[in-house]
Amino acid sequence: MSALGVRDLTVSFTGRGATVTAVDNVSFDLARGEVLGLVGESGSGKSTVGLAAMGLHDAARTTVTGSITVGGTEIVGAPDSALRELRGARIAMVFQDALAALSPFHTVGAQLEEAYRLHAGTGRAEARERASTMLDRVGIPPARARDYPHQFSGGMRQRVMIAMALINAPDVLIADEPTTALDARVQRQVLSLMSELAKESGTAVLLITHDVGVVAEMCDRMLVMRGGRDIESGPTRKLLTDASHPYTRALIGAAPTLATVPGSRLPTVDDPEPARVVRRTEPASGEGAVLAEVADLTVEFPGRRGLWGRRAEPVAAVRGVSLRVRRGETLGLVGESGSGKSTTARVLAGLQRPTAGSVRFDGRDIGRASVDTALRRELSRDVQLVFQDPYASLNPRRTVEEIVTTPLRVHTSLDAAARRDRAAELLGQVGLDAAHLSRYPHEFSGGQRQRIGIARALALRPRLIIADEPVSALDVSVQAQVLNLLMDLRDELGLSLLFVSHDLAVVRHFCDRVAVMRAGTVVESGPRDEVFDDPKADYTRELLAATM
Amino acid sequence: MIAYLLRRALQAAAVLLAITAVAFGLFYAAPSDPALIACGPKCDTAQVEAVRHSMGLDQPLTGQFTDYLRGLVAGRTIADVDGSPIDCSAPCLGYSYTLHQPVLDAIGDRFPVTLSLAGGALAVIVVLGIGTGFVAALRRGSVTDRLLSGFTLVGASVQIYFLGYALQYLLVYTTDVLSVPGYTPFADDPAAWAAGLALPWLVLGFVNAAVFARLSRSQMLETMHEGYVRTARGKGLGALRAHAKYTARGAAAPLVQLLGLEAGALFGGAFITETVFGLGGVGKLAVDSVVQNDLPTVVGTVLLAAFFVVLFVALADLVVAWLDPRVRLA
Repeated sequence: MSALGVRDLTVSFTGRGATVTAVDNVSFDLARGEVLGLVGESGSGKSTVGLAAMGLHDAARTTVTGSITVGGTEIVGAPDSALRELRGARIAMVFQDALAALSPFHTVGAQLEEAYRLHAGTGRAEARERASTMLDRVGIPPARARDYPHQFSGGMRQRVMIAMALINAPDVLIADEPTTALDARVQRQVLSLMSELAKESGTAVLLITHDVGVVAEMCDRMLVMRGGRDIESGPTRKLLTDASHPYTRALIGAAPTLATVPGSRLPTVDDPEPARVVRRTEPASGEGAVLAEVADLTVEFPGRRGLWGRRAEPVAAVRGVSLRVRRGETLGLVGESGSGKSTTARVLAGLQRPTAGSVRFDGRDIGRASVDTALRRELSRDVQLVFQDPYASLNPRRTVEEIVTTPLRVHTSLDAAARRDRAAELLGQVGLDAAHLSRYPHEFSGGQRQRIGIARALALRPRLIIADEPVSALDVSVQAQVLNLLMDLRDELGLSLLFVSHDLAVVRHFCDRVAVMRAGTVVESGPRDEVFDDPKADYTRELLAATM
Repeated sequence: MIAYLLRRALQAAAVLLAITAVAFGLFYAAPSDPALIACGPKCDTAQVEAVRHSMGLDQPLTGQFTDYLRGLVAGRTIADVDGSPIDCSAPCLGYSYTLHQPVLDAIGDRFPVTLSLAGGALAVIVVLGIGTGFVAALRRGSVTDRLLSGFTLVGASVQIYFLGYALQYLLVYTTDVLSVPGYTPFADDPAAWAAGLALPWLVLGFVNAAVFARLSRSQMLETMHEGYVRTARGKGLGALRAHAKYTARGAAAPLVQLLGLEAGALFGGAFITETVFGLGGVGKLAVDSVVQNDLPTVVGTVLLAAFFVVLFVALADLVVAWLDPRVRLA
């Protein structure tokens, strides 16, 4: 008998008169001790499967049909009292964002104890004992049981979450994007810990993820979902090398790996087998004139106000960083969260004032741009930004035309008709239709919005584009499209770019030169092939080893 | 923590000092003559001047203000109309020449009424307002939800003097469900105390409950979808227990803040309710003193109301910090 059996599962949501089918006739079995990867992009219904297995849907708006059995017990249609006995005891869940999923009001010890006591029916002392053991097992000193979730790092919080899910040694663990928010090195630690513990307790794992790299490392079998349907399933190794469905092949190929040919066109769902054109065989490095540079840059943020209004020591986000972006070159700035890469980018964009050191654009000192409106305005003609979140960075109350033409209105004397023509031309360049000009951002998908953001950045024909994690909020196939677009535009327009990312594979694919940052300093920089093929710093080697 | 409390107390003292100064300034800007009022209509000019001198009103303003502050902290001796000394011990809020007693005693006589009224009304607000919102959120979209939301809206839209008299007529004089409103000291007869205040509690609580009901409903609905509530359900907690333990706690902060303000306002006196039900509380004292130009009592009641607002807002902040360990007291 399988640990988790799903037969003909269909889940639909009703809202405002319309019914949306999120999961459409999906069946699979999860054997005891097995790890199954449920892979798909956003909207594929993969998370809905996980919630349905827990019976955690809003019953008023959701229709679930088919059958889900946990160790032989039917979930679909079961009364809440029966589900309560299963949840946490025989089937448990780990969520993506542990900071949101753990209660901010209770100590981690109390939360673990509660999970244990609900099912084990023991006294407090025994529960505390068990909670300590579990914390110890996931590498958290039991003395820290009295601390609150916000006092832990992201990786530790996710380990607490795993300890809590496994405290009753359940038959099934549903892990929904458990490491997506974590840095690569921490991701690797957390995943291996999770699989080790699951093995110990004989727990079968349903690993829900968008990341094919994670599945390749972790899963015996994988099931690919798209639009609520089961596209293809089978042993991971077989699907990775020889998938029968073009969507699976596109999904697997869309994310660049450390083995992809840099600069090659990435496969997308519409174009699963692109022609193997490699542009820019020779990265432009070392020759062009310096366009932007920072030297000995230090940025400090004032410390927290303490008692009696005294400030604590300032926090140094960037400490003595020197970087150069040459004309026509793409510089990749990689690092984990908190490494200071975004702060450095903000200084180059004139949005953050350096505490010490110099910042120059085209030979001119722009250190005061963040406080000098005139200088900042002048700089913005030549330096434009592309942001991470395509949902937050476009004003929802403005049409695409207004968004794209705002820089033109501010900086040029073009009249309305000329601005409109330029906007139409820009949309064409980023692969959108000029007919979209009068629409609003919410009518577009995430990838389309990012294209609009790129069109806005290109409007003034800037000399430098600073892109801060421009593809990390996008699904892999959309990420591939946007990367392909950026590579095309770079060739066409001869752009210079500062590309900030945590993703080494993407940086390797896209950039000519690379600087690796850690804790506010640059630990290594150089031409792409040098850094990736022959890393000098231990830290770079560690990062490369953790990349899946 | 102790440093925080100390700093908070200093802040509160600064706020109260500012309010005292403003109230004291108004005392002098007011187009009336305290000496004339104290002396009475039959006094001639010389007598009024004598009274003015004995009351210290011919002293410079700053001197009088520091005297007042000193009285607050250390107590002082005040001269009566005829110059005879009246001992006013700390915290001395001055002497009412209209009521012929120290302001603090005047307030003290009426404060038990205000305390009883405000305490009961707050309990009604918590149960009827916050409780209603909680239940309405749990049954969102249902008939219960709509009925409860409509019911609290009625409370927000009627006036106390209308609702007070209407209910008094219906529940007291027509049907005998409740006893005649009035104040009996708790120590004398707890049952009579509660019976006499039941209707004022209900009315005062009900009209103030709507804003709490709406806020608590929307807060609950927002918090219900938090990840930690889902985690609690995933552990095997029942819906009601999960919402009581996690959702309610997540939803509490703005409710506690608002409740602090409301408590501060109610402890400063509830004039309309006191008037409708013939209860002699601090609210009525404050309004009467304004009408009668009894300036020491005006300043005293203003200061008292401000004191309670400052106190309860600070208490609310402490409760919020206790509920949510992420809140830093600074």
